[in-house]
Amino acid sequence: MTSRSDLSIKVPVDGSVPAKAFVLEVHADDPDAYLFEIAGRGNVRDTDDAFLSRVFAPSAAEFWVDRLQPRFWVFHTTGPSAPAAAWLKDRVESRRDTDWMWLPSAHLRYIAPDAQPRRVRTEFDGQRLVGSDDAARDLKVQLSGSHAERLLDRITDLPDYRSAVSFSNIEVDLNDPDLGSLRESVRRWGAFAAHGEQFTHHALFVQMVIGRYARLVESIEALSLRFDPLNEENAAALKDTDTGGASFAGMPIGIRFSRPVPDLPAFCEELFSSRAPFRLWGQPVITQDEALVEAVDLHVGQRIRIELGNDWMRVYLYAGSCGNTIARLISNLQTRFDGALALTHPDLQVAVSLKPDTAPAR
Amino acid sequence: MESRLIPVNAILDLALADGLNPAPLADAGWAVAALEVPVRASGQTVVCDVVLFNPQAGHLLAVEAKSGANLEPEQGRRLAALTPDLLVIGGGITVPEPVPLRCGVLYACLAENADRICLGADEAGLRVPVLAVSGSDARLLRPQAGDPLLSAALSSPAVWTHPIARVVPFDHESPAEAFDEPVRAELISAMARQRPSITIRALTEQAVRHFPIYGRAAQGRLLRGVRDAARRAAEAEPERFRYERSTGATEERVAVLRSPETFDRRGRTQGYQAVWGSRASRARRRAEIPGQMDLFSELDEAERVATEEESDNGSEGDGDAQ
Repeated sequence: MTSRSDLSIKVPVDGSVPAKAFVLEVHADDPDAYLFEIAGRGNVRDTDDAFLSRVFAPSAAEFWVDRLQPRFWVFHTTGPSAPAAAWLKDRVESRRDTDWMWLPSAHLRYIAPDAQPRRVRTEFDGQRLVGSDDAARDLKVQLSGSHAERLLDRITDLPDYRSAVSFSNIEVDLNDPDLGSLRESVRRWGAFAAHGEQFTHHALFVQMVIGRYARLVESIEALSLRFDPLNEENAAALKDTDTGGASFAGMPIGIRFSRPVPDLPAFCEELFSSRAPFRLWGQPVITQDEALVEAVDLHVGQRIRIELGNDWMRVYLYAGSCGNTIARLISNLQTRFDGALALTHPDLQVAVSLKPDTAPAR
Repeated sequence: MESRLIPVNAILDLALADGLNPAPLADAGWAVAALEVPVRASGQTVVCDVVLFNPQAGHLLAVEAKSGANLEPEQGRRLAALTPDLLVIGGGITVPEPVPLRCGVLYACLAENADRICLGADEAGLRVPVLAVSGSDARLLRPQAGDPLLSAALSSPAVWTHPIARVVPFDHESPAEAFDEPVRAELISAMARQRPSITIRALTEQAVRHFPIYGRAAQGRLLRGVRDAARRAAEAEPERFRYERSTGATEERVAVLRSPETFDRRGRTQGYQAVWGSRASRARRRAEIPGQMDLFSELDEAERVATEEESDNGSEGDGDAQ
């Protein structure tokens, strides 16, 4: 049997290959059964830690699956990253209760307060959603160097280009007096590669990123629309009448774009085409300046209602729905349409941008 | 949005601080507590369309959202007779601070009907403020008849900067076609989840998320609206869905006969696009061949594998992966 402390040996960050970590968002009532289901019962081994399992993925790698955060599982491995990701992707795409972690741009830009960015990349691809005459339709920049993020910050300061800057990858150096030095490379879909002195440093870093993302998802879910039948006592008193009544909570989630939607019908055709990365199904009803869509997020198979205007979007998420749907929508819109979009709810904007006082004025 | 539903949605929008339209009621401290609240007083029941509660001020606002131009005097008198405790109990409202409670009534109507509503209130001897909602703004009429807090909050018109939010997008009186899109979306959701079938009852509760606010008769009409929409959806896609009447063993339901989820991954997108109308698929780029490897690009290939689009739309890999 293996304990958690053995992870530093099983997944060394100081070896000849980087240690990788992939984060999946999982909705599992019975985590053990879920793991058996996705990996095959014979491929799962218990450890001394109730939240840590060893998984042998045929044709992929050996994973050490950490379920300490019940909703966000970390798949650690030192195996080759491509087959590992392919194996995980099969699990994500074949299920409706599993998804990646979709980091907003700012969660990479401000990955850790004491981090020294050394490489950054933006992969903005607006070919399908941005107008052909826009100043910045496509932007791919990769820079290595001390404080590499500053270049993208400078581009962001240019009004014509700010909407095309979205952090896709970042690599940072971290130095801790107790945990030593660590280099981390992070992708917006929740993949990490690390090399350094201590595995614990890497694991804590991953958990820190997850924790911040979890707060965003929970903040989104706190705003989901909820209609609950009024209390039974009241209903009993009114049993002779044909009345209903429900308490209400939540509100729509607003997104404000920094660039206009160039062609609303074409934009909707692409956004609701069921295609990756959005994977939204919908048949928009388009009026003069607004589109109404009863959409389905095919990643998780849940319905969301969306209204879309020239420079805004309103999303109705219902109680019981997964906030990851909105987080993914935000992250994908940032890399495909507007890297400078803003959430109109102040708390959500802080959770997305990681900066207070950035909520747009009403 | 059906004009009938504009007043109730306008009230909700003014009280929801979602950051798009102005929300003076939310800014002043009111929040939406409940919808369609039945309150029984003196042996009679009156239903409040919306109840707003301002916990700091201890103020409850019973809102009557008029879909038309007629004010019913008897209903108005019942609303005016409501007390804070009845609204708190009826609405199941939690009062977090021990503040003195008070309440008031607000009528909301379309601006084009505002004169008649005001006239009706005068004739009935009702001293109530009226919120007139137009396509451009919402303005409080007869502010002197309302609580000073309300008058202050709506001292100037609330100008819509965006379309009014559709929290109640349709109801039991809506035309048949209003049910089509939500029902179809829920059927696609069932497909995506690989559910073999969904009962009409479950479909109704999913498609009409505000279902609990209605009484039995209205719920029955909503269920019929959903059933009709589901039948239309199934008839339009007989190879994918089948409407099935209830039997001794099964409830009335829609069976999912064929789902794109059973296709190869590369065929799923087209499978979904084909439901209720095909959609032309544009030519898509192929993935590029990955290149060199170092720590920064260690995950490139993994990312390509994990996030590549379907076969006819390759990913945007930058070629520096392993």
